[in-house]
Amino acid sequence: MALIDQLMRDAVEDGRPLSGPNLGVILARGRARRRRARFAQAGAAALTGTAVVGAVTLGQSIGPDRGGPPQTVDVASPSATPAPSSSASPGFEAAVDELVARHLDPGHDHLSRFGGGRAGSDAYVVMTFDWFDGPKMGKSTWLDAANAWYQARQDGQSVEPLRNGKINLAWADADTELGSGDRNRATGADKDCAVPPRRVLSPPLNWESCTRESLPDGTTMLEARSNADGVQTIGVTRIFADGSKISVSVSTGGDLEEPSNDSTGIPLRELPATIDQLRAILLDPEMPATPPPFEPSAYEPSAS
Amino acid sequence: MARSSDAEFIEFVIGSHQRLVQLAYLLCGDWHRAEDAVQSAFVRMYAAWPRIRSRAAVDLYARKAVLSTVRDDARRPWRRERVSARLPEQVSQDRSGRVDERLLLVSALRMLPTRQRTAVVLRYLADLSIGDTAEVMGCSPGTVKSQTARAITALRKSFTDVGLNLQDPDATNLPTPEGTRPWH
Repeated sequence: MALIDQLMRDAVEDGRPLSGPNLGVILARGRARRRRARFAQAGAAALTGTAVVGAVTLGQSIGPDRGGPPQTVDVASPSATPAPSSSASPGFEAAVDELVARHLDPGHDHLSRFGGGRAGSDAYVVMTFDWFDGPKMGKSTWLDAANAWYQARQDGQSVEPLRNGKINLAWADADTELGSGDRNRATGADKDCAVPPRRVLSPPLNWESCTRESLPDGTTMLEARSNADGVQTIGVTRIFADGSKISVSVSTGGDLEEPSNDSTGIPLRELPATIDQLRAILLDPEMPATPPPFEPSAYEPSAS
Repeated sequence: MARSSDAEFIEFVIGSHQRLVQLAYLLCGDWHRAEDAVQSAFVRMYAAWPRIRSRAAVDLYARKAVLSTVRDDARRPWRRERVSARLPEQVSQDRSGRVDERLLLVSALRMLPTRQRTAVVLRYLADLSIGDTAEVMGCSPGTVKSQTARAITALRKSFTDVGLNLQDPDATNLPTPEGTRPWH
Protein backbone atom coordinates (compact mmCIF):
# COMPACT_ATOMS: atom_id res chain seq x y z
CA MET A 1 0.00 0.00 0.00
CA ALA A 2 2.91 2.28 0.47
CA LEU A 3 3.20 2.74 -3.21
CA ILE A 4 -0.34 4.00 -3.54
CA ASP A 5 0.06 6.79 -1.04
CA GLN A 6 3.45 7.68 -2.46
CA LEU A 7 2.05 7.75 -5.96
CA MET A 8 -0.79 9.94 -4.84
CA ARG A 9 1.59 12.41 -3.29
CA ASP A 10 3.80 12.35 -6.36
CA ALA A 11 0.78 12.92 -8.56
CA VAL A 12 -0.28 16.01 -6.69
CA GLU A 13 3.12 17.40 -5.84
CA ASP A 14 4.57 17.03 -9.30
CA GLY A 15 1.42 18.33 -10.85
CA ARG A 16 0.44 21.81 -11.77
CA PRO A 17 2.04 24.55 -9.73
CA LEU A 18 -0.58 25.89 -7.39
CA SER A 19 -1.57 29.45 -7.18
CA GLY A 20 -2.52 30.88 -3.84
CA PRO A 21 -6.07 31.26 -2.63
CA ASN A 22 -7.93 34.31 -3.80
CA LEU A 23 -8.70 35.68 -0.39
CA GLY A 24 -10.56 38.69 -1.68
CA VAL A 25 -13.08 36.58 -3.55
CA ILE A 26 -13.41 34.03 -0.77
CA LEU A 27 -14.09 36.65 1.87
CA ALA A 28 -16.44 38.67 -0.29
CA ARG A 29 -18.52 35.65 -1.26
CA GLY A 30 -18.33 34.22 2.23
CA ARG A 31 -19.69 37.42 3.70
CA ALA A 32 -22.44 37.53 1.13
CA ARG A 33 -23.34 33.94 1.96
CA ARG A 34 -23.31 34.68 5.66
CA ARG A 35 -25.51 37.70 5.10
CA ARG A 36 -27.96 35.69 3.02
CA ALA A 37 -28.18 33.13 5.80
CA ARG A 38 -28.79 35.90 8.30
CA PHE A 39 -31.46 37.42 6.14
CA ALA A 40 -33.05 34.02 5.72
CA GLN A 41 -33.12 33.61 9.46
CA ALA A 42 -34.62 37.03 9.91
CA GLY A 43 -37.11 36.19 7.19
CA ALA A 44 -38.03 32.99 8.96
CA ALA A 45 -38.60 34.93 12.15
CA ALA A 46 -40.71 37.44 10.29
CA LEU A 47 -42.67 34.66 8.62
CA THR A 48 -43.28 33.01 11.95
CA GLY A 49 -44.51 36.28 13.34
CA THR A 50 -46.66 36.85 10.31
CA ALA A 51 -48.03 33.34 10.63
CA VAL A 52 -48.99 33.95 14.24
CA VAL A 53 -50.61 37.24 13.39
CA GLY A 54 -52.32 35.56 10.47
CA ALA A 55 -53.56 32.79 12.70
CA VAL A 56 -54.91 35.31 15.15
CA THR A 57 -56.59 37.23 12.38
CA LEU A 58 -57.95 34.05 10.87
CA GLY A 59 -59.18 32.93 14.24
CA GLN A 60 -60.93 36.22 14.71
CA SER A 61 -62.33 36.18 11.21
CA ILE A 62 -63.82 32.75 11.63
CA GLY A 63 -65.08 33.44 15.09
CA PRO A 64 -68.73 33.20 16.18
CA ASP A 65 -69.72 36.45 14.52
CA ARG A 66 -68.55 35.06 11.17
CA GLY A 67 -70.44 31.92 11.52
CA GLY A 68 -67.53 29.69 12.36
CA PRO A 69 -67.23 27.49 15.40
CA PRO A 70 -66.40 29.19 18.68
CA GLN A 71 -62.61 29.20 19.18
CA THR A 72 -60.19 30.20 21.81
CA VAL A 73 -57.13 31.81 20.26
CA ASP A 74 -53.93 31.64 22.21
CA VAL A 75 -51.68 34.39 21.02
CA ALA A 76 -48.08 33.27 21.26
CA SER A 77 -45.02 35.25 20.49
CA PRO A 78 -42.92 34.17 17.52
CA SER A 79 -40.81 31.19 18.44
CA ALA A 80 -37.89 31.98 16.23
CA THR A 81 -35.21 34.14 17.70
CA PRO A 82 -34.92 37.37 15.80
CA ALA A 83 -31.64 38.01 14.10
CA PRO A 84 -29.29 39.96 16.28
CA SER A 85 -28.68 43.55 15.53
CA SER A 86 -26.15 43.96 12.79
CA SER A 87 -24.54 46.83 14.56
CA ALA A 88 -23.21 47.24 18.04
CA SER A 89 -23.72 50.97 18.12
CA PRO A 90 -24.89 52.28 14.80
CA GLY A 91 -24.97 55.84 16.04
CA PHE A 92 -21.32 55.81 16.91
CA GLU A 93 -20.28 54.10 13.69
CA ALA A 94 -22.39 56.29 11.48
CA ALA A 95 -21.04 59.38 13.15
CA VAL A 96 -17.45 58.27 12.67
CA ASP A 97 -18.13 57.21 9.11
CA GLU A 98 -19.49 60.63 8.34
CA LEU A 99 -16.69 62.40 10.14
CA VAL A 100 -13.96 60.52 8.30
CA ALA A 101 -15.71 61.02 4.98
CA ARG A 102 -16.12 64.72 5.66
CA HIS A 103 -12.37 65.11 5.88
CA LEU A 104 -11.18 62.58 3.32
CA ASP A 105 -13.98 61.86 0.89
CA PRO A 106 -16.72 64.49 1.00
CA GLY A 107 -18.30 63.17 -2.17
CA HIS A 108 -18.46 59.63 -0.75
CA ASP A 109 -16.83 58.36 -3.90
CA HIS A 110 -13.94 56.31 -2.58
CA LEU A 111 -14.23 55.46 1.05
CA SER A 112 -15.95 52.40 2.40
CA ARG A 113 -15.65 51.06 5.89
CA PHE A 114 -14.38 47.53 5.78
CA GLY A 115 -15.21 46.74 9.36
CA GLY A 116 -13.70 47.00 12.75
CA GLY A 117 -11.70 45.18 15.32
CA ARG A 118 -11.46 44.94 19.03
CA ALA A 119 -8.64 43.41 21.00
CA GLY A 120 -9.30 42.51 24.58
CA SER A 121 -12.30 44.31 25.97
CA ASP A 122 -11.99 47.97 25.25
CA ALA A 123 -8.24 48.18 25.09
CA TYR A 124 -7.83 48.62 21.39
CA VAL A 125 -10.53 49.28 18.88
CA VAL A 126 -9.99 49.80 15.21
CA MET A 127 -12.28 50.87 12.43
CA THR A 128 -10.93 50.02 9.03
CA PHE A 129 -11.76 51.80 5.84
CA ASP A 130 -10.85 50.90 2.30
CA TRP A 131 -10.13 53.38 -0.37
CA PHE A 132 -11.38 52.49 -3.81
CA ASP A 133 -10.39 53.93 -7.11
CA GLY A 134 -13.22 52.12 -8.76
CA PRO A 135 -16.77 51.52 -7.58
CA LYS A 136 -17.12 51.09 -3.87
CA MET A 137 -18.41 47.94 -2.31
CA GLY A 138 -21.62 48.10 -0.39
CA LYS A 139 -22.20 49.22 3.11
CA SER A 140 -20.36 47.62 5.91
CA THR A 141 -21.34 46.78 9.39
CA TRP A 142 -19.86 45.46 12.58
CA LEU A 143 -20.58 41.86 13.19
CA ASP A 144 -19.62 38.68 14.84
CA ALA A 145 -16.87 38.07 17.27
CA ALA A 146 -16.53 38.86 20.88
CA ASN A 147 -13.07 39.57 22.17
CA ALA A 148 -11.48 39.02 18.82
CA TRP A 149 -10.63 40.82 15.71
CA TYR A 150 -13.48 40.95 13.38
CA GLN A 151 -14.32 42.64 10.20
CA ALA A 152 -17.23 42.45 7.89
CA ARG A 153 -18.34 44.04 4.74
CA GLN A 154 -21.81 43.38 3.56
CA ASP A 155 -21.04 43.71 -0.05
CA GLY A 156 -23.27 41.08 -1.53
CA GLN A 157 -21.76 41.87 -4.85
CA SER A 158 -20.35 39.48 -7.33
CA VAL A 159 -17.62 41.85 -8.33
CA GLU A 160 -14.22 41.29 -6.88
CA PRO A 161 -13.21 43.78 -4.26
CA LEU A 162 -10.55 46.24 -5.20
CA ARG A 163 -9.20 47.37 -1.93
CA ASN A 164 -6.63 49.75 -3.18
CA GLY A 165 -5.84 51.64 -0.06
CA LYS A 166 -6.10 51.27 3.63
CA ILE A 167 -7.18 53.57 6.40
CA ASN A 168 -7.26 52.54 10.02
CA LEU A 169 -8.70 54.53 12.85
CA ALA A 170 -7.97 53.30 16.34
CA TRP A 171 -8.74 54.03 19.95
CA ALA A 172 -6.43 52.62 22.59
CA ASP A 173 -6.09 53.03 26.32
CA ALA A 174 -2.94 54.23 28.02
CA ASP A 175 -1.52 50.77 28.53
CA THR A 176 -2.08 49.48 25.04
CA GLU A 177 0.45 49.87 22.29
CA LEU A 178 -0.72 50.77 18.85
CA GLY A 179 2.11 49.21 16.89
CA SER A 180 2.91 45.60 16.32
CA GLY A 181 6.50 45.91 15.19
CA ASP A 182 9.80 46.62 16.86
CA ARG A 183 11.32 49.99 17.11
CA ASN A 184 12.89 50.93 13.82
CA ARG A 185 16.56 50.21 14.34
CA ALA A 186 17.69 52.54 11.61
CA THR A 187 15.75 55.60 12.65
CA GLY A 188 14.77 54.89 16.21
CA ALA A 189 11.22 55.82 15.34
CA ASP A 190 8.72 54.66 17.89
CA LYS A 191 6.70 51.68 16.78
CA ASP A 192 3.83 53.11 18.74
CA CYS A 193 3.77 56.29 16.71
CA ALA A 194 0.53 55.42 14.96
CA VAL A 195 -1.81 52.57 14.31
CA PRO A 196 -0.42 50.28 11.58
CA PRO A 197 -2.44 50.58 8.42
CA ARG A 198 -2.12 46.91 7.69
CA ARG A 199 -3.18 44.27 10.04
CA VAL A 200 -3.64 40.73 8.88
CA LEU A 201 -0.66 38.59 8.02
CA SER A 202 1.37 41.64 7.32
CA PRO A 203 4.90 42.19 8.35
CA PRO A 204 5.04 44.69 11.17
CA LEU A 205 5.38 48.23 10.04
CA ASN A 206 8.37 50.17 11.31
CA TRP A 207 7.78 53.85 11.01
CA GLU A 208 10.72 55.61 9.44
CA SER A 209 10.06 58.84 11.24
CA CYS A 210 7.99 59.95 14.20
CA THR A 211 7.66 63.56 15.30
CA ARG A 212 6.03 64.79 18.49
CA GLU A 213 4.21 68.05 19.09
CA SER A 214 2.54 69.33 22.24
CA LEU A 215 -0.71 71.14 21.59
CA PRO A 216 -2.10 74.02 23.64
CA ASP A 217 -5.01 71.92 24.83
CA GLY A 218 -2.64 69.60 26.65
CA THR A 219 -2.80 66.77 24.15
CA THR A 220 0.16 65.50 22.20
CA MET A 221 0.20 64.91 18.49
CA LEU A 222 2.50 62.35 16.87
CA GLU A 223 3.12 62.23 13.15
CA ALA A 224 4.49 59.07 11.57
CA ARG A 225 5.78 58.40 8.11
CA SER A 226 7.04 55.36 6.27
CA ASN A 227 7.91 54.43 2.75
CA ALA A 228 8.99 50.88 3.42
CA ASP A 229 8.81 48.43 0.56
CA GLY A 230 7.50 51.10 -1.71
CA VAL A 231 4.31 51.42 0.30
CA GLN A 232 3.67 54.98 1.38
CA THR A 233 2.13 55.29 4.79
CA ILE A 234 1.40 58.20 7.06
CA GLY A 235 -0.21 58.27 10.47
CA VAL A 236 -1.21 60.68 13.18
CA THR A 237 -1.87 59.95 16.83
CA ARG A 238 -3.42 62.21 19.41
CA ILE A 239 -2.53 61.36 23.00
CA PHE A 240 -4.77 62.69 25.74
CA ALA A 241 -3.76 63.67 29.24
CA ASP A 242 -4.79 60.31 30.69
CA GLY A 243 -2.61 58.48 28.15
CA SER A 244 -5.43 57.22 26.01
CA LYS A 245 -5.07 57.88 22.33
CA ILE A 246 -6.74 58.02 18.99
CA SER A 247 -4.75 57.25 15.91
CA VAL A 248 -5.40 57.25 12.21
CA SER A 249 -3.16 56.08 9.39
CA VAL A 250 -3.40 55.86 5.63
CA SER A 251 -1.45 53.66 3.29
CA THR A 252 -1.16 53.04 -0.40
CA GLY A 253 -1.05 49.32 0.32
CA GLY A 254 -3.79 46.82 1.07
CA ASP A 255 -3.84 44.93 4.30
CA LEU A 256 -3.18 41.34 3.47
CA GLU A 257 0.26 41.10 2.03
CA GLU A 258 2.89 43.12 0.40
CA PRO A 259 1.61 44.90 -2.68
CA SER A 260 3.34 42.59 -5.10
CA ASN A 261 1.41 39.66 -3.70
CA ASP A 262 -1.72 41.48 -2.79
CA SER A 263 -4.52 39.76 -4.58
CA THR A 264 -7.09 42.06 -3.10
CA GLY A 265 -6.44 45.06 -5.21
CA ILE A 266 -4.08 47.37 -6.94
CA PRO A 267 -2.06 49.49 -4.57
CA LEU A 268 -2.63 53.18 -4.83
CA ARG A 269 0.18 55.18 -6.36
CA GLU A 270 -0.45 58.16 -4.18
CA LEU A 271 -1.75 58.51 -0.69
CA PRO A 272 -5.41 59.44 -0.62
CA ALA A 273 -4.90 61.83 2.28
CA THR A 274 -2.36 64.19 3.78
CA ILE A 275 -1.03 64.52 7.27
CA ASP A 276 -3.06 67.67 7.66
CA GLN A 277 -6.25 65.85 6.76
CA LEU A 278 -5.49 63.16 9.29
CA ARG A 279 -4.80 65.77 11.94
CA ALA A 280 -8.09 67.41 11.10
CA ILE A 281 -9.90 64.12 11.71
CA LEU A 282 -8.41 63.74 15.15
CA LEU A 283 -8.89 67.38 16.09
CA ASP A 284 -12.48 67.44 14.92
CA PRO A 285 -14.62 68.30 17.97
CA GLU A 286 -17.09 65.63 16.95
CA MET A 287 -14.50 62.87 17.06
CA PRO A 288 -15.38 60.59 19.98
CA ALA A 289 -12.50 60.38 22.43
CA THR A 290 -13.42 56.85 23.40
CA PRO A 291 -14.75 53.92 21.43
CA PRO A 292 -18.28 52.66 21.95
CA PRO A 293 -18.78 50.52 25.04
CA PHE A 294 -18.13 46.87 24.57
CA GLU A 295 -21.32 44.87 24.41
CA PRO A 296 -20.45 41.21 23.92
CA SER A 297 -24.03 40.20 23.37
CA ALA A 298 -24.24 42.53 20.42
CA TYR A 299 -21.40 40.69 18.73
CA GLU A 300 -22.64 37.16 19.18
CA PRO A 301 -22.65 35.54 15.78
CA SER A 302 -26.00 34.64 14.43
CA ALA A 303 -26.63 31.07 13.41
CA SER A 304 -26.00 30.71 9.73
CA MET B 1 -14.17 30.73 22.06
CA ALA B 2 -15.94 30.73 18.78
CA ARG B 3 -13.62 30.62 15.82
CA SER B 4 -15.05 33.68 14.35
CA SER B 5 -12.32 36.09 13.49
CA ASP B 6 -11.40 36.74 9.93
CA ALA B 7 -7.73 36.64 10.82
CA GLU B 8 -8.06 33.05 11.98
CA PHE B 9 -10.02 32.14 8.91
CA ILE B 10 -7.48 33.72 6.57
CA GLU B 11 -4.71 31.93 8.38
CA PHE B 12 -6.56 28.66 7.93
CA VAL B 13 -7.21 29.30 4.25
CA ILE B 14 -3.59 30.05 3.52
CA GLY B 15 -2.38 27.10 5.54
CA SER B 16 -4.74 24.53 4.11
CA HIS B 17 -5.29 25.71 0.55
CA GLN B 18 -2.63 23.60 -1.10
CA ARG B 19 -3.46 20.29 0.51
CA LEU B 20 -7.17 20.80 -0.08
CA VAL B 21 -6.60 21.59 -3.75
CA GLN B 22 -4.50 18.44 -3.99
CA LEU B 23 -7.25 16.45 -2.35
CA ALA B 24 -9.82 17.94 -4.71
CA TYR B 25 -7.59 17.23 -7.68
CA LEU B 26 -7.44 13.53 -6.94
CA LEU B 27 -11.18 13.52 -6.42
CA CYS B 28 -12.02 15.26 -9.68
CA GLY B 29 -8.89 14.86 -11.84
CA ASP B 30 -8.73 18.47 -12.97
CA TRP B 31 -6.65 21.24 -11.43
CA HIS B 32 -8.97 24.05 -12.49
CA ARG B 33 -12.01 22.34 -11.09
CA ALA B 34 -10.08 21.45 -7.97
CA GLU B 35 -9.18 25.08 -7.33
CA ASP B 36 -12.74 26.19 -8.00
CA ALA B 37 -14.09 23.53 -5.68
CA VAL B 38 -11.76 24.51 -2.88
CA GLN B 39 -12.61 28.15 -3.28
CA SER B 40 -16.31 27.31 -3.06
CA ALA B 41 -15.62 25.16 -0.04
CA PHE B 42 -13.85 28.04 1.67
CA VAL B 43 -16.82 30.29 0.96
CA ARG B 44 -19.09 27.73 2.61
CA MET B 45 -16.70 27.45 5.51
CA TYR B 46 -16.62 31.18 6.05
CA ALA B 47 -20.36 31.20 6.61
CA ALA B 48 -20.02 28.45 9.19
CA TRP B 49 -16.75 29.63 10.70
CA PRO B 50 -18.20 31.10 13.91
CA ARG B 51 -19.71 27.72 14.71
CA ILE B 52 -16.61 25.62 14.16
CA ARG B 53 -14.90 25.37 17.47
CA SER B 54 -11.77 23.25 17.23
CA ARG B 55 -8.90 22.74 14.88
CA ALA B 56 -9.78 19.10 14.35
CA ALA B 57 -13.33 20.07 13.55
CA VAL B 58 -12.10 22.69 11.12
CA ASP B 59 -10.01 20.17 9.21
CA LEU B 60 -12.81 17.66 9.03
CA TYR B 61 -15.26 20.33 8.02
CA ALA B 62 -12.92 21.54 5.31
CA ARG B 63 -12.57 18.07 3.82
CA LYS B 64 -16.31 17.56 3.99
CA ALA B 65 -16.86 20.85 2.27
CA VAL B 66 -14.38 20.04 -0.47
CA LEU B 67 -15.83 16.58 -0.97
CA SER B 68 -19.34 17.95 -1.08
CA THR B 69 -18.39 20.68 -3.53
CA VAL B 70 -16.59 18.29 -5.85
CA ARG B 71 -19.55 15.95 -5.72
CA ASP B 72 -22.04 18.71 -6.41
CA ASP B 73 -19.92 19.95 -9.27
CA ALA B 74 -19.70 16.50 -10.81
CA ARG B 75 -23.49 16.21 -10.69
CA ARG B 76 -23.95 19.18 -12.96
CA PRO B 77 -25.16 17.90 -16.28
CA TRP B 78 -22.29 19.28 -18.30
CA ARG B 79 -19.77 17.66 -16.05
CA ARG B 80 -21.54 14.45 -15.21
CA GLU B 81 -19.03 11.67 -14.95
CA ARG B 82 -19.33 8.53 -16.93
CA VAL B 83 -17.63 5.43 -15.69
CA SER B 84 -15.68 3.76 -18.45
CA ALA B 85 -14.39 0.24 -18.72
CA ARG B 86 -11.20 1.45 -20.29
CA LEU B 87 -8.48 3.73 -19.17
CA PRO B 88 -8.37 7.00 -21.05
CA GLU B 89 -5.97 6.84 -23.92
CA GLN B 90 -3.98 9.81 -22.77
CA VAL B 91 -2.15 7.82 -20.13
CA SER B 92 1.21 8.77 -21.40
CA GLN B 93 4.59 7.29 -21.81
CA ASP B 94 7.73 9.28 -21.42
CA ARG B 95 10.54 9.22 -23.93
CA SER B 96 11.84 5.97 -22.57
CA GLY B 97 8.47 4.44 -23.15
CA ARG B 98 7.63 4.24 -19.53
CA VAL B 99 4.10 4.71 -18.46
CA ASP B 100 3.77 7.73 -16.24
CA GLU B 101 2.57 6.08 -13.08
CA ARG B 102 1.24 9.32 -11.71
CA LEU B 103 -0.99 9.96 -14.68
CA LEU B 104 -2.01 6.35 -14.67
CA LEU B 105 -3.03 6.66 -11.06
CA VAL B 106 -5.03 9.83 -11.69
CA SER B 107 -6.74 8.26 -14.68
CA ALA B 108 -7.44 5.07 -12.78
CA LEU B 109 -8.88 7.06 -9.91
CA ARG B 110 -11.23 8.83 -12.27
CA MET B 111 -12.60 5.48 -13.39
CA LEU B 112 -13.56 4.53 -9.86
CA PRO B 113 -17.06 5.09 -8.58
CA THR B 114 -17.20 8.23 -6.49
CA ARG B 115 -17.38 6.57 -3.10
CA GLN B 116 -14.49 4.24 -3.81
CA ARG B 117 -12.39 7.09 -5.09
CA THR B 118 -13.26 9.25 -2.12
CA ALA B 119 -12.45 6.51 0.35
CA VAL B 120 -9.08 5.68 -1.12
CA VAL B 121 -8.02 9.32 -1.55
CA LEU B 122 -9.02 10.27 1.96
CA ARG B 123 -7.28 7.21 3.38
CA TYR B 124 -4.05 7.39 1.39
CA LEU B 125 -3.59 10.99 0.42
CA ALA B 126 -5.17 12.76 3.36
CA ASP B 127 -3.97 10.05 5.75
CA LEU B 128 -7.29 9.96 7.52
CA SER B 129 -8.15 7.14 9.84
CA ILE B 130 -11.02 4.88 8.98
CA GLY B 131 -13.13 6.66 11.56
CA ASP B 132 -12.34 10.13 10.23
CA THR B 133 -12.88 8.97 6.67
CA ALA B 134 -16.27 7.64 7.69
CA GLU B 135 -17.04 10.96 9.35
CA VAL B 136 -16.13 12.92 6.24
CA MET B 137 -17.98 10.58 3.92
CA GLY B 138 -20.96 10.31 6.18
CA CYS B 139 -20.97 6.53 6.25
CA SER B 140 -19.97 3.70 8.57
CA PRO B 141 -16.38 2.54 9.11
CA GLY B 142 -17.34 -0.76 7.57
CA THR B 143 -18.37 0.99 4.40
CA VAL B 144 -15.06 2.82 4.31
CA LYS B 145 -13.20 -0.46 4.60
CA SER B 146 -15.18 -2.13 1.86
CA GLN B 147 -15.05 0.86 -0.47
CA THR B 148 -11.32 1.22 0.08
CA ALA B 149 -10.71 -2.46 -0.57
CA ARG B 150 -12.68 -2.35 -3.78
CA ALA B 151 -10.87 0.76 -4.87
CA ILE B 152 -7.49 -0.82 -4.25
CA THR B 153 -8.50 -3.89 -6.17
CA ALA B 154 -9.64 -1.79 -9.11
CA LEU B 155 -6.52 0.35 -9.04
CA ARG B 156 -4.32 -2.69 -8.87
CA LYS B 157 -6.08 -4.13 -11.87
CA SER B 158 -5.58 -0.92 -13.81
CA PHE B 159 -1.90 -1.08 -13.12
CA THR B 160 -1.69 -4.76 -13.88
CA ASP B 161 -3.33 -4.17 -17.24
CA VAL B 162 -0.36 -2.06 -18.30
CA GLY B 163 2.21 -4.38 -16.83
CA LEU B 164 2.73 -2.67 -13.50
CA ASN B 165 2.41 -4.00 -10.03
CA LEU B 166 0.93 -1.47 -7.69
CA GLN B 167 2.08 -3.28 -4.61
CA ASP B 168 5.62 -3.83 -5.75
CA PRO B 169 7.99 -1.17 -4.40
CA ASP B 170 10.21 -1.90 -7.39
CA ALA B 171 7.46 -1.04 -9.79
CA THR B 172 9.33 2.12 -10.59
CA ASN B 173 11.73 -0.11 -12.53
CA LEU B 174 9.18 -0.40 -15.19
CA PRO B 175 9.32 -2.82 -18.04
CA THR B 176 9.93 -1.01 -21.26
CA PRO B 177 7.90 -1.88 -24.30
CA GLU B 178 9.67 -3.78 -26.98
CA GLY B 179 11.54 -1.64 -29.42
CA THR B 180 11.88 1.21 -27.03
CA ARG B 181 15.33 2.11 -25.95
CA PRO B 182 15.65 2.80 -22.28
CA TRP B 183 17.76 5.67 -21.04
CA HIS B 184 20.03 3.43 -19.00
